[in-house]
Amino acid sequence: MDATLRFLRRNGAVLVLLVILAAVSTAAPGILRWRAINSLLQDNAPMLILIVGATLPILLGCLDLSIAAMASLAAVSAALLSPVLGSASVPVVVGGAAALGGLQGWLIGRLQVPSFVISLGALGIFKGVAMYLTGANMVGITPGIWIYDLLGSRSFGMSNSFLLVLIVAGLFAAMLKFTNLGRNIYAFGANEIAVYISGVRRDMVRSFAFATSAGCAALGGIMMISQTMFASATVAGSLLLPALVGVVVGGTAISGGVGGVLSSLIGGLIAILIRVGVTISGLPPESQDVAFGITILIAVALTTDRAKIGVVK
Amino acid sequence: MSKLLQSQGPLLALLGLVLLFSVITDSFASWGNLGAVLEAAAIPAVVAIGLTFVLMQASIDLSVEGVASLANIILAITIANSVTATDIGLWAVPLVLGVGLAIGATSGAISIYVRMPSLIVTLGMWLTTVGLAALLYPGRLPQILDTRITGLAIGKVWGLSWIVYLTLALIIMALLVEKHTRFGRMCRAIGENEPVLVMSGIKVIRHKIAAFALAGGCYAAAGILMGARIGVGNTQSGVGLLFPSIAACVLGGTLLSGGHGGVRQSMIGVLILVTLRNGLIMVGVDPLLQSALEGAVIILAVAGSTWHLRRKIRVIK
Repeated sequence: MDATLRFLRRNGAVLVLLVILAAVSTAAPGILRWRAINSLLQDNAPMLILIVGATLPILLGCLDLSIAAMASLAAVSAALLSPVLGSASVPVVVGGAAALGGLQGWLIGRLQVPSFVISLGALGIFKGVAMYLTGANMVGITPGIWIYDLLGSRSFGMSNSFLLVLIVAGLFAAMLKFTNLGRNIYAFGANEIAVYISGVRRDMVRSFAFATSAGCAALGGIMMISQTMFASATVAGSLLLPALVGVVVGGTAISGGVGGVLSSLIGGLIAILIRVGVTISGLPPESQDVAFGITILIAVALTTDRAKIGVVK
Repeated sequence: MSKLLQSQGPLLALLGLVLLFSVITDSFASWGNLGAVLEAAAIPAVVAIGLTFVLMQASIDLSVEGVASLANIILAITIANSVTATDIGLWAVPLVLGVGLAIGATSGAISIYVRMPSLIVTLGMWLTTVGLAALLYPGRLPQILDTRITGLAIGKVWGLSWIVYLTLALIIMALLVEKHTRFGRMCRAIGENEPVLVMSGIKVIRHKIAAFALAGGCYAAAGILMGARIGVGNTQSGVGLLFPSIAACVLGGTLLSGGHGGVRQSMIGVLILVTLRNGLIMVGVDPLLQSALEGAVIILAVAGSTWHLRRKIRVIK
């Protein structure tokens, strides 16, 4: 029994993914066609990259609520900068986003204010600035800029946006596994005081985690405009919840220290499949949210490591 | 002096804001505008009351928007309305409140018995209730025809609608519960140190479930008041309630880490947020920049009001 439970806990997310995939593909075999998969992955690449980025703060036991607002702000800024900077607008925007994220992480430690509050404030700030920059209108992007065309197109039959998601996720996974910084992130989530006493600079670790989540969010925003060719201040606003759901369903514990980028990616795929499953099974689209809600509850109930939780809060 | 600043910081911030806006604008300090501030504060205040008891216990409840929308829809389709034939009259109100209580109690029970963080359970509950609200939606916008509900927003006494008076009554009740019942005292104690209570043989579980149930009831009440104000059942009616109400609680001094604050503090937080919103419009700040200024104020206010808690080794998540 214990062994079964442990197996479920370790591979719960993958099993859930396979079960849902089996169910969906029996109902509609067409979903397994390469073209269908490809277009699903392309449409959802922005959400997936947000999920990848959101994982790092959650590994610390923090929460970054500003990612969706950051993605919108980045999309808007990229659209506004692209006529001047061309392809260079992408590194500028992603770099700027990472700096703002790093600032958030640094402020959490300096002001000793919970990440929930800092990133909630940042959500408001980013949203307000994006609204102000656009005057609450749509902003189009100049066609024919190399980097946006690249992100919007395909190579080796795969969407370039999705390939970028895979590359970024792979880099982060390697970083978490093989570098000191990566191990410090897990240790930070497991026991922050111990990390502090062993001489790790907490501010650095936190700033790094929040810089990556903001940088990934900016990439997500840029992927969105490379597909739709326009941006608005609320273009990515609805991605916050699905992104957090993806991370959590994948098995990364909100309490920190457990999980990883690749599990989050699996969680993201589960979220996509639930949406598809609801649509093709002929259920009213409104039941999507119910399905999401119940899946989170079941997935987390299966994957949470109770040994870490002394008191349930 | 510094002690006063620590304990009454949010109240002083509120007075400071009121003073500032009264001096720099002519229109802020008027009876009409005071009424507008109270009207705007009423529904967030009802939500914040429920949230406060949960936050005091160091749990969190994210399900506000879903539960309030669901309550609003159930009210609209069970009372006299323009779409469905059902009309159970004012029985709709206890029905809706009961649904809210039941949803809250379910969240609490899942969190405790399945041992999952309340953040996740209520996130799941948020999505589930949003979906249920959409499923119950009868296809066309149901207009609430029962004037006993819509009259709450239209009928005015001394320039204020019944929504404000009902909210005031609810605040007084919540203050009495907080100060004078075992449940109220336990909420703070659970946030302060739950393991000690468990070891002393106190049945913590029923107080925790009660807090979530109470919160669910408050969100349902907010959904009803929302129905009175907008006069229709809308699946989006609860949207936008969550973050401001959490921010208001935290601004007032009800910390997310539990054990601190209370209903009075949270109400001050609600007033700060609403005053700020109102005052900034009066000052003539570009409405598009509103949320940016609000965000900055939330960060500064929380940093300022918890400055005295700073310690070298402190875990901040």
